[in-house]
Amino acid sequence: MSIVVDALFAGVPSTGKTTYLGILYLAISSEQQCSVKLGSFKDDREYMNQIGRKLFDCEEAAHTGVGTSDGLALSVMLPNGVNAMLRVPDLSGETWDAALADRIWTADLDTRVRNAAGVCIFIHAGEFDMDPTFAEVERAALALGTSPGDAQEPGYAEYRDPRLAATQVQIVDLLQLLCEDRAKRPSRVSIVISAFDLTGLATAPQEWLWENGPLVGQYLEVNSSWLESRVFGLSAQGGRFDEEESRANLAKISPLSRAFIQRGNGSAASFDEPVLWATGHV
Amino acid sequence: MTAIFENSCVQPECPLAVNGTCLEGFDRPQEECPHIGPTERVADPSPDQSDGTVVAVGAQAESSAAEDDSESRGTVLDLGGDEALSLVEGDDLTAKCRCTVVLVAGEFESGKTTLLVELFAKFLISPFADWSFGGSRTLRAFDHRHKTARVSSGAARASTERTQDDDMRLLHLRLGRHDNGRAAPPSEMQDILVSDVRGEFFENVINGGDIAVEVPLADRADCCVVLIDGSLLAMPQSRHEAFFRIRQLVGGLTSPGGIRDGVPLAVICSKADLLPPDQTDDVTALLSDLNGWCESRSLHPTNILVSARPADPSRNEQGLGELLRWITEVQDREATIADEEFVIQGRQFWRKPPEVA
Repeated sequence: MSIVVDALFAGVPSTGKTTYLGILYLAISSEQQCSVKLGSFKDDREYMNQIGRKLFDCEEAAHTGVGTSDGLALSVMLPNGVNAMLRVPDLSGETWDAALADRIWTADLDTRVRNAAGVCIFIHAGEFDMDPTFAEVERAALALGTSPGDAQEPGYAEYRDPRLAATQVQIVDLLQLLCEDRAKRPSRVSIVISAFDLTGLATAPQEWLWENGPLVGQYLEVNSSWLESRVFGLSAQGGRFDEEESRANLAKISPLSRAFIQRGNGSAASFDEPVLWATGHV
Repeated sequence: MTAIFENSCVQPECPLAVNGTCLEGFDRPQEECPHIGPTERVADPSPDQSDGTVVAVGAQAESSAAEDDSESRGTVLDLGGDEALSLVEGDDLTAKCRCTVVLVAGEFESGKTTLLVELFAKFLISPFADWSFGGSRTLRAFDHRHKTARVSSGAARASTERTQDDDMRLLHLRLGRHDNGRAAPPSEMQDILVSDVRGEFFENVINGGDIAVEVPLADRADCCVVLIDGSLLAMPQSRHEAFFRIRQLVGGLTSPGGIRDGVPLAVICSKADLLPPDQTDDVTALLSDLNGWCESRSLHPTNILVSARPADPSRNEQGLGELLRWITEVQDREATIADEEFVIQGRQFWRKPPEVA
């Protein structure tokens, strides 16, 4: 008897969804640092092998186009011994952009959301946009003894997409769209902070999220009677691929050795834990 | 012909029925393969099916439905949630959960919208005034209204866009009593619906317009916040007229068709940071006069000085916590409901329930 486990990854572009899919695939296929065992070598793995190759070659994951119908579909044996088809579609970040900014998505996605056994929401530690107020910038400048113009990154208003809210507002928006409005209750969500190596690792993932996204922390606490959540800090690449020296050093190490994932409290986790926990299999 | 159903693979190309091999590679396909399903074997085969070909009902059903499905799968759905709630949407929400409906009244540029967005913005930083943020049906609407206070707006300084909507609109906040790390039980959750209405409607009331026509949600409010523009109070030449007009506004709001008897009233001096310290006594005296006038009309207003977004950004806001506590205490108060038809199981609905025969 085999079951199908459908998980959904959500997050705007460049939040690490595809890269995580890649490291997850490598972990499951190698049966290293994961809880599930590979069930078959006959699943169609062409797409996942392409993604996995990027990690071997220390290249950034290619942008996932809208309309891509690929993703992870692996036969596995779950930790409880049940055989399963683990399915995670690799949805484009623009899909979630459209949901958050333009308030639209397809009927197909709506069905996927409603039928998903669990949801993982991705945010990028290096691109967590606080979207500060004028007052906050002025106070920061006063505290630093500088002018407000110096306290704010040059050109910030120009390069920022005006359609998008601050990152923490986006996360709450996704939680409401995916979990509050459509998921069965009680529901679970894994929040994966990608590129967590960029934080310097001074704080554990949950503490980092609570500090940088207090709105998210409040929402999760207030609604914890029906929504269980776990925060993970992930470095699927193990470092920066866009800096030559870093890339050269990383290339000497196998992908699964350089990547890491932490639970909310900072302890080491297996690479499949965000997915398995969100779908209720851990 | 007799149709016999048996479990086999619904994938047309799978050789399972022919040689027992599973296309997906499962060693025990009947137990493991997710594509195993009931299929129809024709017991009395026609000449075209004399070899006993299995017709996969599931596959047929899938292929015929696929054409229909392909259109519906691509159908784009509107998720909503981009605007403040209309009165009808507010009605739907109050029908599902107990909401405190707050009418925020005040003339053009008195600070109504700034008050609301700055209250929301407090939760972007931390729990506030003993409450934590638990969600909002109008999260995007709050974000839009707050945008002009942020550097990303590209503006030179913080501002609030003038409310454009001609319709009565509501902004929603769900709050949970703040208790570090603990989920708020339902009894300690509050849903608040706050009006965001153009000042021109209240100016019409000041000029004698019928409150029931100008602000139809007035008689649904569980509490009312009336704003006096602090920038007018800061100048002696405009101070007295400001209070004069507020009396007319309060009088209009409490006229028949307006806010109901017993509904709590707060008179807020907005932009309180602009009040010169040496003018405070005069302003206090005028507020006291206003309160006395209200008392004569059986109104018992609470006065709060609020500086939601101080002109000097180095100064902290003032009064928002007191205002929020006042609003959240409304649900704890026993309101005198004049019209029992509007109360069902203790909840206030917008639409009158159908008459019971």
